[in-house]
Amino acid sequence: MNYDIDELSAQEREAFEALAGEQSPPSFLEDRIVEQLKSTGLIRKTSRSGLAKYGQLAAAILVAVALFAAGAWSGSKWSAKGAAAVEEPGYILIVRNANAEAEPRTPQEEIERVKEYSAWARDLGRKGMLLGGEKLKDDGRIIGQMIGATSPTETVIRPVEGGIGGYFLLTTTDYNQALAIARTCPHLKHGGSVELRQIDRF
Amino acid sequence: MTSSEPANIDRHLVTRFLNTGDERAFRQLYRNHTPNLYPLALRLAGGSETDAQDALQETWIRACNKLGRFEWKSSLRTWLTGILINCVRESNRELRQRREEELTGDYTGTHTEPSLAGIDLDQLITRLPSGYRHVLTLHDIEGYTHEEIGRFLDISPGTSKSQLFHARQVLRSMLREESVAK
Repeated sequence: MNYDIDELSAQEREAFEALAGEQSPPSFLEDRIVEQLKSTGLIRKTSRSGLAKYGQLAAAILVAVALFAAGAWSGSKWSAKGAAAVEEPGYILIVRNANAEAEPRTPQEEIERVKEYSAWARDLGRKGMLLGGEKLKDDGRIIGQMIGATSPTETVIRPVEGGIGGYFLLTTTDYNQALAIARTCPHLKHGGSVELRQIDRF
Repeated sequence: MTSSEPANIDRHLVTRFLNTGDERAFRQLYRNHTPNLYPLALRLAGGSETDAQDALQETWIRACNKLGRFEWKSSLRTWLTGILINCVRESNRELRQRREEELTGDYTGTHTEPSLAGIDLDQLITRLPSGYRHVLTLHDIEGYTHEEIGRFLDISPGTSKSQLFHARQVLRSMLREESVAK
């Protein structure tokens, strides 16, 4: 039997198309699913007191890190191909996380920000001023050892405003030039900060 | 917005979610896709809101567990739809069987075109046997191809065509009956 000959009439097609519209699920369902995902560990739990203490930062830090990653990656890749033959960095630009209010509010806004960071890093690479850069995950440890202690201790790094999200390695050894670059970093426009440090060679 | 931008947004959000378990990333994914999935869940579940909500919850939980293995060979929406269909089919198996037993009569009838005026088409679709309802919903309402439906339901494209043919026949017969009753 040839089932292909069964076509919908115009009226039927129209009726089906009218059914295809979006329909919002009940509002409680989203929270119910989120809670379920938290209970299974698929969504990270955040405590309200912790958020307050640390300036409600968790999501913002992650966004900043993600943004930084895209920018740094693009710049360093370009730099590896096209930068002037400078092999050692003169300055490091440490990118510090913004607060929650600076977080992109929509996915589109987030993508636009990634593009902005990428363009900035690519431009530096094109000028031979960027040696590279990397993002840093926020789940690190600080390892320390008290004088007299027999073994080092580990402290989990907690996401805080101003925490390190990543870094850029600048080729310039001139402070004013490095400062000028730092001032153009798009991270500053979005509530973040950068720390400029000269690399001190032995 | 170009057609690739929603996919880029999905990738970005999924990456964030996988890397960090970020609640906001998940909520955004949920809000981007659930308005499309919910009406589908309702129809597949035969109009039961409770079943549809349970199926959606299970869909997202399974999806979040498997997101790391998602290879982006299809859109995220298509992938989620496949999971949703499985969830509905698993949770609604007994009900489906009961309905199929009730509605296995001969609905071929005459070939005059039934009128849709004043008839709740959605309600009639929920009364279809689940196999018919799934194929008709996915093809005629959601716009999926027989190849895609075949993959969703683990049937051949030919079977999907056959199911659609019979689903439309049954639906038209039900419409005729409704028209006469009115």
